[in-house]
Amino acid sequence: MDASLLSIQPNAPEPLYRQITGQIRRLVAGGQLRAGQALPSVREVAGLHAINPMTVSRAYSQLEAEGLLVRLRGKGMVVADLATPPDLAARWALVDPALDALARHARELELPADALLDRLKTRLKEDLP
Amino acid sequence: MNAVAVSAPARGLFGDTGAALAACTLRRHRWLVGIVYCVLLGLGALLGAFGPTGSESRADGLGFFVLVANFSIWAGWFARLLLLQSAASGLRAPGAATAVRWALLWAALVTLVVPATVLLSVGVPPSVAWGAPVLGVLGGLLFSVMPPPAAIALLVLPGLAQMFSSHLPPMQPWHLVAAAAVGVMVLAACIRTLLRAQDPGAIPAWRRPLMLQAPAGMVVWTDPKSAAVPDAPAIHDGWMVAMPRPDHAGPHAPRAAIDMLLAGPMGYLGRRATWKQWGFLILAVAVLMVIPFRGDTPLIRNALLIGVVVGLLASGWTLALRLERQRRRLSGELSELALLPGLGTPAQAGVRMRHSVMRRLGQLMLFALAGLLLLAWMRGLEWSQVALLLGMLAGTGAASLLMCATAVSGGTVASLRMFLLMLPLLIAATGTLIIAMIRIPLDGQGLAWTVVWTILTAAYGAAALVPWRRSRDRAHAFLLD
Amino acid sequence: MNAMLDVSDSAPLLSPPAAPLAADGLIKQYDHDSVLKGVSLTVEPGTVLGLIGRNGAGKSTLIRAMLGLIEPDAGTATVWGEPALRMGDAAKQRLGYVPQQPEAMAWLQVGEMLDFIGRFYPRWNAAYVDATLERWQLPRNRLLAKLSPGERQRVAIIRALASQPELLVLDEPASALDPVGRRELLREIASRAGDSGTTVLFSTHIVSDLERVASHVAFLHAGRLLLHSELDSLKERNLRLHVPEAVAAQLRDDVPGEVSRRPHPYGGLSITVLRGEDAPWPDLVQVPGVRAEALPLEDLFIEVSA
Repeated sequence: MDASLLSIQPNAPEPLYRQITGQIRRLVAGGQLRAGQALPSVREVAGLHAINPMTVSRAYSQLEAEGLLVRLRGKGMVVADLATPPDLAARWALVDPALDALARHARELELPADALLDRLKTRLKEDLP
Repeated sequence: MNAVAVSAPARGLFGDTGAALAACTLRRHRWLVGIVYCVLLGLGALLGAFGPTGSESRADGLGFFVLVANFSIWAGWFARLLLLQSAASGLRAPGAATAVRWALLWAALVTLVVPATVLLSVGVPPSVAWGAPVLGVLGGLLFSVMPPPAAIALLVLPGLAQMFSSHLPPMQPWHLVAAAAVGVMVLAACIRTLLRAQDPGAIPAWRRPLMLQAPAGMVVWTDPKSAAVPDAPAIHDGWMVAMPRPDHAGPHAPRAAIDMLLAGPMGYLGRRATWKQWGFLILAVAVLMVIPFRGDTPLIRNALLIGVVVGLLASGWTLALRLERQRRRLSGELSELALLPGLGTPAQAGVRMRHSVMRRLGQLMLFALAGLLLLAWMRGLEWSQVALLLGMLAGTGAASLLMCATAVSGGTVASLRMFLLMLPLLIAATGTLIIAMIRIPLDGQGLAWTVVWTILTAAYGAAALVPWRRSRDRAHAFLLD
Repeated sequence: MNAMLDVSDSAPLLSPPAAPLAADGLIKQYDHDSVLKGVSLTVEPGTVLGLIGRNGAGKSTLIRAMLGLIEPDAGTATVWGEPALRMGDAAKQRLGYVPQQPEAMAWLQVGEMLDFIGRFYPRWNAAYVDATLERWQLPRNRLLAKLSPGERQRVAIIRALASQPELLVLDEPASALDPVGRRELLREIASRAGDSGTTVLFSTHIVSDLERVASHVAFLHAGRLLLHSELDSLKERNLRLHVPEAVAAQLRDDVPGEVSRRPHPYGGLSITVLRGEDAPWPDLVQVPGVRAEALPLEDLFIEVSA
């Protein structure tokens, strides 16, 4: 995996390490990161995005503790070989924050719910493989 | 780039004109120059009132004072209006150009028309009554706008002309007109360079107009707040002024390291640099003394000689100012010295620093001694008068020590208090220099002068102990303000 | 507060290692202008502390006081346990400092200055100097005075980094650098902090620089330290609550951890809350109708300084 796949936004309210863990989780859940695939080294990520290596290190350590990543000799951090893909509930949990934000925006802008759902459906149809 | 030191002027007396006049220099500077102008005019008035009424010499004398007064105020203050013009055009400030033009006009009016009218009313012939102020204005402008070598040459020109007068055909009026025309053209060219330059600080030092040598004005050094602002790079290009070099400095030679970093261009010079400096000075002296006259020299050359001697004597004061300024520059050499390992314990570093200052002061006083000996030789002084000069050197040295000690202990050198403290020195030195220049014999006054200089030297020396001790008590030697 | 430990080389095992930089109650006045009004700050080893504040908030003065360059009117500053005003050579060798708008030794050439300074540091890395001068295209033979401010700042950065310091203090190091230069500098700081465990203190007014590399942040406002905490923790502990009219009318006292409140343009109140390290969120967050969002740091600072 290339370090540039991660997008870091320093100005966002979310702490950097959580941005990284969130993105890696989504990549794994979505299948872009497969089991056994190596992640870029801490130094690579830190160097590319000009952030503190300890931030990256913290993110990796947290995912390792959760069992999503495994440290292998010679290869570094690798996506763990999971028996089953993350369950539905876990995957919904990843999407919920975005849904919350969408709902909030729509409320603030006073957009009708039906129109919103229609537009969402169109987009989902477009993105189907 | 600070071409002009601007200190938020309020609306001036005559609106924009006043504001332009006020904006081009600091208030302190304006007051200084203004006082000099008034003093010179006052002296002229005294001469007119009480001097001998032989018409021609009196007219010349009055004209001389008006000339010098105009020279000083234009060189010191009004010429800086051009700097303002340059800065304003760079900023595209709309009303500024007009304000500057009006200010120039007003200044010309006051310094040309008014003295000329007064002189005419006193009976001075028109050629002198008008010629003197005009020459003063022109000279002042040229002096501040030309690069330093040319400016010095300008000062020497009248002396040279007089010296060669016997070899040249007699001066016709058209000679004068031609010379004036050349002067005006040179002036126009220099002004054009000044106004066109995008960044006056970038003009190489030897071509830079005199008033830009210290871009914010030399007097800015004496203003505590402005002194902290970094200069536009006013580099002294290698050959003219010897700068300290770090060749042999290092942790094994901490003394040399401190020497190198302290006081920048006025810092202690290593052997090679000292030879270079002496070499240049000797060259300059040789050039100045076109014909080695012993005893009888024309007025301008005397003035130049006095200028050199006074400059050398004042070098101790300049060193003290420089040290104080270094203390106020928050990102300068002092913070380097404070954090550089290998300079010893704070106490040791302090001792070395004080020694460095003393050695530099010693070097400067040596230069001053050379200048005084030159003066003695050129004026053909007697031994008693030479002794008097040496006494003055001792007193000046002690006073310089006091000023440097003040600078190094955290005090303010550029203050009214220091000026008042130096007043006795200034008075005694002026008297001594007058005696030396006019070669007044010392007969009865010798003892009195000895007493005066002994007391002054001892007093300044003792007074220097107070700040010296205070400097030892500081937490470490390189504290910033 | 961090007591001034007498750390000597002969007893490293008995006393805990002193913090690289510590300040306690620093007060500094310039001509009736109070620049520092009692600032206490400790920088833990291995951390990157970003000191942020407006121009004129006193950041540079604080840094100078902490390094012993100026004498405070009151309070103490220590470097590795020793008083900053009397730093020994051992400490100075491990310290690298980049001042704001550096202009020391302007009459020397770049190479001359670096060679000279290099003699004083036992761990000076001359190869690094050469490589970096070339990478940043800085001419060795140019007089320092003739360099642009950005180039001079780069030279000063090289000067500080070449001695491989354990403590790196930078005062607005990126102020004269273009975005590329800034990014490179941050990368350099980050890698040293991460690889060598260098402790870094840098001051800036660009919040995004801070958010990239800093592990801790200290917010200085008008001479007072208003915030000092771990960066991530700060981001996780703040919330801006939009409280609708009805609920707002019932509020009597300040909400615990409240930082500021102002009327919301759509009615009701906008209350910024910063909870304590282990404290729970105030009850107001759970009240129905109250919406919460985390703030970006810049906005948080604005609210705190109000």
